Amino acid sequence: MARTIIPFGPQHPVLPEPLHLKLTLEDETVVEAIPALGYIHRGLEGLARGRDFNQMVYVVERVCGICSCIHALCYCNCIEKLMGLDVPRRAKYLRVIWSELHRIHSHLLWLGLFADAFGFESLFMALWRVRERVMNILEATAGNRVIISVNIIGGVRRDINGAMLQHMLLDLDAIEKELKPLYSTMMNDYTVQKRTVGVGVLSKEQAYALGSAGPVLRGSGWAQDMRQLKYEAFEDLDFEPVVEHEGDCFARNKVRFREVFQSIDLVREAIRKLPDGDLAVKVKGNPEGEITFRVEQPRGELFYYVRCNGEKNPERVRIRTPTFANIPPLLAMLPGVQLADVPVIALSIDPCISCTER
Amino acid sequence: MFMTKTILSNLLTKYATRMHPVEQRILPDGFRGRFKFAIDKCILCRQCVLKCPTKVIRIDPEVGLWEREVMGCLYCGVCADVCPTGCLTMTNVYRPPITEPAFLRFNVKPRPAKKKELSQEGEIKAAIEAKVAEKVEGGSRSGKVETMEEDAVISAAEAKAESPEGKKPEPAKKGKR
Ligand code: SF4
Ligand code: SF4
Repeated sequence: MARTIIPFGPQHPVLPEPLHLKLTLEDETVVEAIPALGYIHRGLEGLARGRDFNQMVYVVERVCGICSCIHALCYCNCIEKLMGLDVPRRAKYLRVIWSELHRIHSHLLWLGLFADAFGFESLFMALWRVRERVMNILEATAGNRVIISVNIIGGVRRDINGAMLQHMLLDLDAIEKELKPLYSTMMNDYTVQKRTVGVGVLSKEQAYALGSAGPVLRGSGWAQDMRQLKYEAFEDLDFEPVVEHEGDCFARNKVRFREVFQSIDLVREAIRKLPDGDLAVKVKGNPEGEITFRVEQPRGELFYYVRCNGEKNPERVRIRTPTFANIPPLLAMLPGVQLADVPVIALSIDPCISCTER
Repeated sequence: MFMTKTILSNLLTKYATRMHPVEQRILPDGFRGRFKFAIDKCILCRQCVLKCPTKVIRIDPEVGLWEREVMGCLYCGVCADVCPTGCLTMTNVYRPPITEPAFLRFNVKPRPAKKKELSQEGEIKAAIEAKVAEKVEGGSRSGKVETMEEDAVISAAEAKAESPEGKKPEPAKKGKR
């Protein structure tokens, strides 16, 4: 059988971002996949030398739109640790509330796109309708829908008042109520199962050996989540990673959907325990030294390395994003699958290419 | 079965979408929207220049120029946060997109500094001042001179530099619809 090479992406109806895979096919079966990255490199790491450490918060937020808050959170933690700042507890809780809201809307976005990828368009619409409620909360509390710019070095910029918190709780109840039937559709529907169960299997050993991260790792049976490191207010919150064992697209899907409910619970708990106090501490001087920090992004482990030499501008900011870690597992999933399943599998790692290329 | 239920409930509920131009969205109070300037209060302290993450604000204390390149602005609100006199504030008015690079210029009372020879540069700035004054009267919605909406005075820099006398350069953006 002769081999054919089919380019998948960078422009493909199913892909939200320019991922390019060169697929070698034998008949309709994928034999090999070679990725090509670099379509949206923006040089944000290099920009660190031209911005001072406060301004850099707004730059790292733009590494990725969907999880902007969590990028800023990770970077702020690095600088705060370097400068020995003690962030007020209220700020820590507010950061958790905003970052979990970000996780909810990111997962809902992905679930919608995933439903769209296997052709279930009404589910896609229904999920995005729910997501809009989360965006409204973000807009009302932080001032913007996606890039919310609430984290600053030393704390947060905005407060959420009591009335708004009550409103958020009601909204979260409504969101949960609307998501319940969608969850049962996603889990039990014949179409969804036909397209995802047993497709793109990543075994437990492979997931570990290839260094995958986030829901891809947890969908293959590893209970690893950076929130277990108890950064910010997670030390006081109940948290257990969501784990599934099958390692296929369905399992990854299920992990993410269950994480949405988990994040809703985390936000509720954080609101309940929200302490009073200041929002930010004063920042004096410049950071010095080098540090690494890890947080859990919706897509997995996010890693920052920051080196400062006592000047205003950081010397080096290195960002390792979860999609970068998840590309080798994707390549391991592809050989042997049908061409029609490639979009579903490629989307199941939740590729965020602008994160990966920065 | 589930489908029948969904169809029925969808028939009985309102649309999730909005008839956009007819029905406008009500933005929350905390929304970071269009800027409002009370530029008379500006003391040219440079705080906004130093803190702006995109470095789009430029200040010339000698001639009293406050300038922002509108397209580079992220609407992060840092300048409004740091301004000690409160001359920059953010409103919850929707900010429509613009299609061309544009500059937002204000003339402020210059800080007493060493006098500079009036060069050709000075003439251009005088032209800008005249233009700004004219725009302020025409474009301010509240009728007050010291407070104006953001895009009332946006105009292209080069156009002015090329035509210091008479010719009217097109403002990049008209006032709010
Ligand atoms: S809102 Fe615009 S001008 Fe103000 S600090 Fe942010 S980017 Fe700069
Ligand atoms: S706008 Fe505000 S921060 Fe900027 S120079 Fe004027 S007074 Fe200072």
